[in-house]
Formats: sequence, C-alpha cells, structure tokens
Amino acid sequence: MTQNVGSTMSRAIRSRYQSFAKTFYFFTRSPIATIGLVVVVFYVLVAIFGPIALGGNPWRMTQFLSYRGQYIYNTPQPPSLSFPFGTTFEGYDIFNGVVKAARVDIMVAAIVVLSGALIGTILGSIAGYKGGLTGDVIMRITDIFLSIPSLVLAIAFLVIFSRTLNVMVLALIVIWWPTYTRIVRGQVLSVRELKYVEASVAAGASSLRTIIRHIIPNSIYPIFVQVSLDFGNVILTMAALFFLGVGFAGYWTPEWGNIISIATTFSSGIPAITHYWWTVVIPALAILILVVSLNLMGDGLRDVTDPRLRR
Amino acid sequence: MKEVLIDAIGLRKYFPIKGGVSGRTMGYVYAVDDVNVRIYKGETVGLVGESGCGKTTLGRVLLDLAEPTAGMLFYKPEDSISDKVSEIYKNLKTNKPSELKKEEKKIVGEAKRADVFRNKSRNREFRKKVQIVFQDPVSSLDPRMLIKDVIAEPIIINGVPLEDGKRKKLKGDELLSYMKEMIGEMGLNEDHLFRFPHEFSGGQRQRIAIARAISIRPEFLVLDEPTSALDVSVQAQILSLLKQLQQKYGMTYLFITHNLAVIRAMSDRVIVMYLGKIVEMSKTDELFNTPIHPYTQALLSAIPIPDPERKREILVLSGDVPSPANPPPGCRFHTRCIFAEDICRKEEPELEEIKEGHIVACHFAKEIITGQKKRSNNA
Repeated sequence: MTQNVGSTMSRAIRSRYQSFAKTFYFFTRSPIATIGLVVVVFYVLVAIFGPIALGGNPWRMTQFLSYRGQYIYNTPQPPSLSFPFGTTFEGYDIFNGVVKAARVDIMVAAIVVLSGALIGTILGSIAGYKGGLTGDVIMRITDIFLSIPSLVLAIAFLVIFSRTLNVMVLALIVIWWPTYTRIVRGQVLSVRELKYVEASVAAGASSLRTIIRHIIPNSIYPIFVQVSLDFGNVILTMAALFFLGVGFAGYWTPEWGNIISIATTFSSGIPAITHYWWTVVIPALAILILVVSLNLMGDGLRDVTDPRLRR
Repeated sequence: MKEVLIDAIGLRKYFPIKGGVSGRTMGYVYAVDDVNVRIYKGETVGLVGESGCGKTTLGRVLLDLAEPTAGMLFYKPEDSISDKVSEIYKNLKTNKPSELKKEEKKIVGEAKRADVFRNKSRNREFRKKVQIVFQDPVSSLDPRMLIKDVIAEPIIINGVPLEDGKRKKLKGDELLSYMKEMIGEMGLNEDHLFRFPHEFSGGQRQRIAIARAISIRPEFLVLDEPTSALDVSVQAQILSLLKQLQQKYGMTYLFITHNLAVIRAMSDRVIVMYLGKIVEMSKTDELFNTPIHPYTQALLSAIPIPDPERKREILVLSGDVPSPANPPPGCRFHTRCIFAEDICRKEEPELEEIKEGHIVACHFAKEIITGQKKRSNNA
C-alpha cells in the first residue's frame, strides 16, 4: 500500500515498516488469532531448533531397541521422566520423533501449500482475467487433475518415480494446485467485472498491472483461509500415505503420521491401541494443535488484510 | 467553426448471445447499432434514453473500453477526413465495402489508419486524453487501496501535461503535493488521501472518482450517470463541481443519464437514444421546447411539473422496450409509437436535419412540427 510514495529508499522502507506494524497491531487485537499465531510460532521454533537441541540425525527417530540388555522397549513404554511422551512399538522415542517430525511436516506442508497457492494464483488469475481459449485450456487441464482421486495420484507418483522426500513433495503439489486455481479463477471472474478494474483499464494500465494491482489483491483473501486449512490437510494426507505404506524411507522417518502408523501397524488391534493410547494420541495431538492454530491464524490474517474489516 | 474533438462513424457494438453446450452464438444483442456522433471541443453533450438502450455501451465504446463490432473513431480528426468517410458511408446503403469505388476505398483505408481503434500510437495518445466517471461510486474505487494510490494510478501511468505540451510523470513528494492540491479542489482535505474508500460517503467517493478521472487533465470526460446513485442535495454539489472543473480545465463532457432535469441543467446539446440508435439530436433548449420525435415527446412529458393547476397531455408509452436482441423491423419505435403507420413498420427512418442543428429520425418529423400529424388508429 505504500508504493510510489517516498522519495528515498529509506523512506520507502520506513513507511513499509510502519504499515506492517499497523497490520500487526490490528492482528493482535484479536485474542484468538494471537493465540493461533503464538502456537504456530512455537511450532516453527521447535521445527528449527528442536532437532538441533536433541542432537543425532534429524531425519531419523531415535530407537531404543535394548535397554540394559533387555528388549523391553519393543512394547510401548508409558510417559516417564526419561521418555516424556513415552515410546511406541519397536522402541522409538515419541518425544524425539514428534520434535523431529515438526521440522519434516512443517517444511513439506509449507512448500506444498505455498507453491500450490502460487501456481493456483498465477494460473487462476490468468484464466479468469483473460478468459477465452487461454482460460478454457487452463481450466480443462485443472479439471483433468481434479478428476483423478488425489490419493491415487500421489501413490502413482511415489511408486512410478521413487519413494523419496522430493517426489513426495512434488506429488503433493500436483494434488494441491488445481483447487487453488479454481478458487482464484472464481474470485477473479467476479472481481474483474467491478468498475475499478475498468477504471484501471481506462487509465491505460496494462493487463499485467491490472492483475497485480487490482485483481489479485482483491481475489486472494479466500486463499489465506484455504492455505491455513490445507496446511493441516497436507499433513493428514502425508500421514495417510505413510499409513498406506507408500511414505518415503522407512519406519524411522520422523513424521507425525508415520508415528501413528507405527502404532497401528504393530499393535494387535484396537484393544492394544487403547491400552497404549499415548502412541496414537500424542502425535495426533501434535497435528491437531497445529492445524487448529493455523486455522485461527488464517482467520485473523484474512481479517487484517481486508481494510474494510480493520476499522 | 468549432473544433471537432471526437468523431465516431458507424459505431456498432453487438454482444453475442452464447447458448447450447458448445457455446455457439445464437444471436446478437444490438446494443449500439450504427451510431454517428460528433462532439465538439468544450461542449457538454447529454445522452438520454431508457435503461438498456445502449447509452453506457456507447460511452464505453467511445472510450475504447469495449471493443466495437464495427465503426471508426477519430480523435481530433485532421483534414476533415471523417467528413469524407461519413459522406461515403452515407451513400453506401448496404455497408458492403466491395461496392466502394476505387478512390473511395483509398479514403476509407487512409481513415482506418488514423482511426483510434486501429492505430496503436493514436490509441495510446487517446488514452491520455480521455477518462470516465462511473455511476456506482462504491465499486469504482478499489477497496484495498488508499485514496492516494487510487488517484495516483492514472498519473503514474500517463503523467500529467505540462504547459509546454509534454507530459511529466510525477514521483514521490511532487506526486503527493500534486494530489493534495487536487483533493483540495474536490472539496476534500489532505487527510483523506490516507484513508480507504469504505470510510467515505457516496458523495465523497464520487468526488474521489472525479479526482482520479481529471488527475491527468483529460480533454474528454465521459460521465456515466455520475449522480444517479447519490441523494438530491449531493447531486447538486457534484454537478456544480463538474461545471466548475469544466470551466477551469476546458474539458468536454459526454453526460450519460436518464435524469432529464440534470441533462437540462448541464448540457449544451442532447442526444436521445432508443434501442441502440440515435433518434433525435439537438440543442438542449430546442429539444426541451420543441421535441419532435414521438419518443422524445413521451420522455419529456414524463417530467413532473410542480404545479397542480397546470394540465397537460401526458404521453404514456405502452408496453416495454422491445428486446435489443430482436429489434422490430422498420422504425424501432413503431411498436410503442402513437403515430405509427405502415411505412414505419417497413422502412427504417434516417436521421435528417429538420431544422438547423435539429436532427431527427422519423418519417413524419415535418408533419409533427406543423401539428398536422394525427394519432394513428391502432395505437
């Protein structure tokens, strides 16, 4: 909002900072959004510094197969002083796994959701603003991707290429971009008919300028909500893929869904899981708290980015 | 001789009606059909007509905001090239280029090269000289932009004209002080630059929209029902503001409205449109005193007179406006005209100059003036 004013670089930076500070102030006025933000920041800090503090290989959960010569850790141990979140089957330390998984999950989800949103915003705004043949071609391609069940598509990707982290990220992006394209296109279709877009054309603005300055800022806010919802969905889908046995690497992978899937794979049915409740509940809570906080934060973000709701 | 600012010849804008699964074109809405308009520098032209008669579309086509189906638009035409072309088109009944003579083709070709729609550099020049103010002040300002950014946009793209005729793109403090001066002129204050559109009332927003439009000092301004969304006291303020600005900057207005009182107060000349065609064109006083076309008569008789003692004949139009997708043959007004006769159903009347500067498209224009024309039986 501060472009074009500010004769010097420093002035531009200062005014940009002021506008950010103002936005942040409005954000903190909503207690629920603030709680969401605090929790998300906490998760991000854990993701960055947790694995460093724990030491060891950040891509591998610590496994305690034997303890003082006894193989007691093959069965889950309840939370105790030495294992704050307990251990799961095969002797994996849940605290260790949950902390290391924060890095993997948040990284993958962030990459997937943000690149999906970026691709969707670009393609959707072109398809919506230009319309005609260009728009039709983009939307039909989107439809083709949407018509294939997303989980099947991801499994196909992982099986055809290789079961590595990179392919997993790629597969998830392939699943996610069409939704964003559809949302953005729908928004753009309604925004482009508004008079301020025509006024911008009448002022001699190029299509690119009109899209960047008017169309995208006015059609992007459902994306904020969608991103915060999808962040959790990506984590859940990843968990589902691990559950189906097509996750990357092996059981030692620190990934919340994987920790749950260890419990469901090795336990002998539902009574065992209810007995060893911490093996499922703790990683699931890790997912739940993050997803809920992201939603709260997303709502708050949407509110502060819309000037009409701000004052 | 007044200087011609805008000269449009044979403007047509047909909107395709798409239908069916394959989206093929089922027909067209004839929003603007063969309209010739000439606008002189410094005047205010009023454009009236019912809803859906193509007023707004004509305004948009005249600014090249909507691509015309056919027609030419000249901005400050040189060597009366548009005269020659309109002469040629007038003689050409069927509008088929193949029937043109060789030298006529040459003139038309030359004209097309000077035409705003086809000539890119002229189009760019044209863009800097024309602006529009929309009817709805709520949707005409981007809700996510500060007022200063709204007003700055045309200036950043086009620059402002200097005294020596060149244009200068303003930046930083210069731009801000220019905008402050501008917003003061609109009757708002400097603080308003740093607010968002939703913090203003309708009248204030319309002032901002006008500020944006005139920020690049356009020569031609299309006002598309600028006051119809405002309440009456604010309407008067906006109209007087527009008059002041016109005097100060020597702008030419095309005033689109269906409010006849506003037209009478504002414009020098009036164009009356019906179903995509011009039916009458005259000086304002002349038109209001002696309307000729039966449609204009009906329009004017609908103006309320604040005097209960005065009786007069009110012409109430029966029926609705026919669909512009399927206009009636012959005179487009014959379905509702009290004077309609057989010729009206078959032959389309041409625009004729009945009196000096008073152009009407009606078969019975002369009879109507002299009062000889009686109502037809079937009306």
